[in-house]
Amino acid sequence: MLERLRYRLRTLLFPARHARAAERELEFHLDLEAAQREHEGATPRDARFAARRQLGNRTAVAESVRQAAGLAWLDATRQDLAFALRGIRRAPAFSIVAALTLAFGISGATAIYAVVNAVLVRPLPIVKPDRVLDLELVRNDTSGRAPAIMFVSVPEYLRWRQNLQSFSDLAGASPTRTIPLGPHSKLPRPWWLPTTHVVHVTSVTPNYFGVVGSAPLLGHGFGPADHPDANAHLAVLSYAYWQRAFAADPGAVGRTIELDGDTYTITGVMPERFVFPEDTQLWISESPDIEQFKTNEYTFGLDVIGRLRDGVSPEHALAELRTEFAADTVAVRVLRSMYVAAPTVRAGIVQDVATHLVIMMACVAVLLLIASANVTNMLLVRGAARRHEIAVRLALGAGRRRIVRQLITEALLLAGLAAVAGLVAAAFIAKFVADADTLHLPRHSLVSLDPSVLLASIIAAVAVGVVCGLVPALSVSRDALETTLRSETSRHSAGRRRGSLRNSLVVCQVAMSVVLLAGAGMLLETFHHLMELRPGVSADGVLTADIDLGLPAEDTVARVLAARRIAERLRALPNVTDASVSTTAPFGGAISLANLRIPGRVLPDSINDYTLVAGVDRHYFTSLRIRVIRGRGFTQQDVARRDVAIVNDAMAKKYFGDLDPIGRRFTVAGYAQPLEIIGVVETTRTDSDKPLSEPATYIPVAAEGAQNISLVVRVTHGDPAAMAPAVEHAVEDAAPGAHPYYLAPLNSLMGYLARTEHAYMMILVGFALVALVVTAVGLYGVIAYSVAQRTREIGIRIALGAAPNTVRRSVARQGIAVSLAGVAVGGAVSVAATRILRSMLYGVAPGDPTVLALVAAILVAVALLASWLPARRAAAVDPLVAIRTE
Amino acid sequence: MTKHESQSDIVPGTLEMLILKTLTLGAMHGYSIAQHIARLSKDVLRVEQGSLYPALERVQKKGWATSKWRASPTGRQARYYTITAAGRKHLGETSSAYQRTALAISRIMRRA
Repeated sequence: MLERLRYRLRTLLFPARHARAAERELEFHLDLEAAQREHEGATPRDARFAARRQLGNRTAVAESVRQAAGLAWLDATRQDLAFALRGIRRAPAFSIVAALTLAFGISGATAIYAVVNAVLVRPLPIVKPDRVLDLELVRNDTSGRAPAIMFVSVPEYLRWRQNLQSFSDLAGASPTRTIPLGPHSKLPRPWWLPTTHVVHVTSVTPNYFGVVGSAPLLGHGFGPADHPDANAHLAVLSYAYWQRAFAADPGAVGRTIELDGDTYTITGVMPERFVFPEDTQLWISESPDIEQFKTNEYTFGLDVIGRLRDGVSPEHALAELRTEFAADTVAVRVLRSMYVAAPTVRAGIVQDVATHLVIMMACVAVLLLIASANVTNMLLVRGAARRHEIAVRLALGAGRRRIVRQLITEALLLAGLAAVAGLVAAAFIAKFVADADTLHLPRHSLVSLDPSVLLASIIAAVAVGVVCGLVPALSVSRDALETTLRSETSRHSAGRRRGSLRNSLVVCQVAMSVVLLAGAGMLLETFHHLMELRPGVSADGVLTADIDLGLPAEDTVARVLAARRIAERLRALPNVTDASVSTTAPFGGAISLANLRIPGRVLPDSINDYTLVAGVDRHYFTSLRIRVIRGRGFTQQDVARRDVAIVNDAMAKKYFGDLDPIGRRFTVAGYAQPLEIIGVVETTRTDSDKPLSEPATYIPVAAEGAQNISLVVRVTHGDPAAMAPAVEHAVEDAAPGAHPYYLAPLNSLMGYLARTEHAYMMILVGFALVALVVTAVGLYGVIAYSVAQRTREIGIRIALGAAPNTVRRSVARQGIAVSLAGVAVGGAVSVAATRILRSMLYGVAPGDPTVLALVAAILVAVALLASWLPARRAAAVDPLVAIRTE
Repeated sequence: MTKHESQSDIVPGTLEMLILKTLTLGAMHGYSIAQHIARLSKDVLRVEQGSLYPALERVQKKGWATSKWRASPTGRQARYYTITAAGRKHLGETSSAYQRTALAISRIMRRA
């Protein structure tokens, strides 16, 4: 066994040495043979000569030794490669186009697979993730889109944790928050760039790490779950954050960090692969205390996960959870149209995006198929042009198998070049996706070309190379075999057969392009519809920022005063029309949701009894040009009042219907006094991918006294971003210790609204455009080739008096026939295929006839364009030249 | 290539067997293997270099023999082949199979 391996390695790694040794061995043999003959009485000269003759053809002997050693295929491969390289050098334009075509397909497929790999395939940083379930409250969305997953309330969590027997333990995590930290940089930056002075913090229950089954790399996690005091103000760092903020200093454990005015002690650092929930840089412990939530019982607060007890099936656990939920009278009353679900953590994370990614995967596969069909066609055309050469080689004794091998090697080399270019492009795409969360994906930071992605794309490239090479190689070598060097007449049948193969490939290409274009068109329509929804604010010329006031937690009065001073200072700036402070800027991240009750009224749908609550000052509506529909906005007198509110139109319609809401009262969980509605404003869109408009309640900002406030500054003229330094300076001047972050023009945040739709749309449009170009090239190639083949026939027609127009039409007819066939097939397929897009569409139905008609028109136009050049060339054929050729 | 009347080609596959059998006598270089086979077969079986050396490669590839360069009695470097344990095992199997076949053939030929 070992000897065999050693022999193999030696011969394969050092083929030259092997050849030399064989040579020496033969020489030795020859010498002994000659010596023997001399010994028998021959003259030295004769002996030598006889020995040589006895050996025979020395090269042939060496060759058969080589073959026996299993090295022959190495030589053949080298020859094939040299042959392929020569072929590529001889037709550089052809090769570049073919390789580029494939490179588009390979880079797209690799990038999408890298995303799929990171999001769906790579294991979660959890021990036995199949045994950890996500305990979800789900609300059926009235708008007909996917059901919304709600956070679980703290009392709910505590009851579940106490009562559910299927789980060994439950843990909860609050949604990850972005908290400003320490001194900040002075530059306004795009909102999506990670800033060093914010940190993504997730509050978790102390037993969180125990439930997921991960221990810190350094230090320790939190203390016992049931001792809130032992866990107060403790923090655990993520590996990446430890690297970045503490330069991987082991001394970080034990140091303190200030968050939101509180001081936390760092107790540990998690291992590198533990990033869960996604994006978390810092975990802080939070011991949910039922007492705290008495006042605001159904504020949704936690993502709950639970580890199944050994031997308990997920189905059993879900059944128990359902029973528990149904038995909970309070929950049933308030959360009437909600239900519970318990997918595994993985399913919980990827459920929304899995479909999207599968769709993208399918699209990119179609793109790769189009590219492969195109290259196959190009190789067929080229093979046909080389038929003569191949026939000669066959006649001289080359085996058909060998010819096929050479042609496939050529295709493989093209695919290899394409793979190199494609991987470089894919690496850039993957880097971009990992850095900027364009697709709003979970686990996006893990997107990279890791070995499994590289392997998959190399396998794909090889498969594409073999497929693209095999069909033309078989077809060409068969034709050459049949017709060998016979005259032209016998070539026609073969030519026609290959012609129909080429035509059907192009029909497929056109059909697949139609499908991609139809999908892209529908997403384009969706995006258009989403953008047409009125945002409710005038975003142009507005700068927004978030400000950390940097004041002690208990000093509410100081905060209120600081916020007021900042607003006044900003309004005094030149080039500022208006400015306002609020707890939530439009399209900003932080949204506070609260349940509400309306005295004396049974609400129509108790589960949706909630409202967004924002504290705003009296300049908020004027700065954003939010229209006051009824009643009035806030005035100077309202500033300190805790009993007035302005609601948006959505809220007025939802809770009061046709009644006049002005003067009516309602209570919001968390606010002691009932609020009287003094005005109704136009509904603005919130931070949501959905076109839904949430009911919102605005209360005077002074009633809030928040640590973090938002700024809205309307400039008189010019780019609002240019005002950023002045605004920053004014804020720091007015309230020492405060610092602004996330300065951005409001209209840049608006684009953020439909960012996911926009990103998917852009990807699909990109795919569709590439498909269109590739298909156009394919069409052109096929028609141009058939014109070249028919040069003689066309020449004769022209000589017999055919008008150039007739010739042009007959050529163009072929292109149009092929493209119409493709459009018909593709259109039929699109009606069915775009159905998988349904969950991504808004305002347009799958198989929308307008979109399909437009797509068909585009493709026919492209087909006309692609046939026009060859048609013109055909009409310009000189009959004399044409007849003389061949 | 012309061949002497009394010489004959070796049935494919048996050359390896003959080589291995020869090597059971000890390590040998290619020439002496050929000599040995020719001598024992009374010059009936002549092994050409064109079949000997490829066969030696095949035998090594299968792991039945290994080779090493070392000084021959005349002082010149020669490649010496040695049979391996796997080679002996294979030789045992093929030679018994061969003997059965040879016996069967000779019985038929005797009757005819």
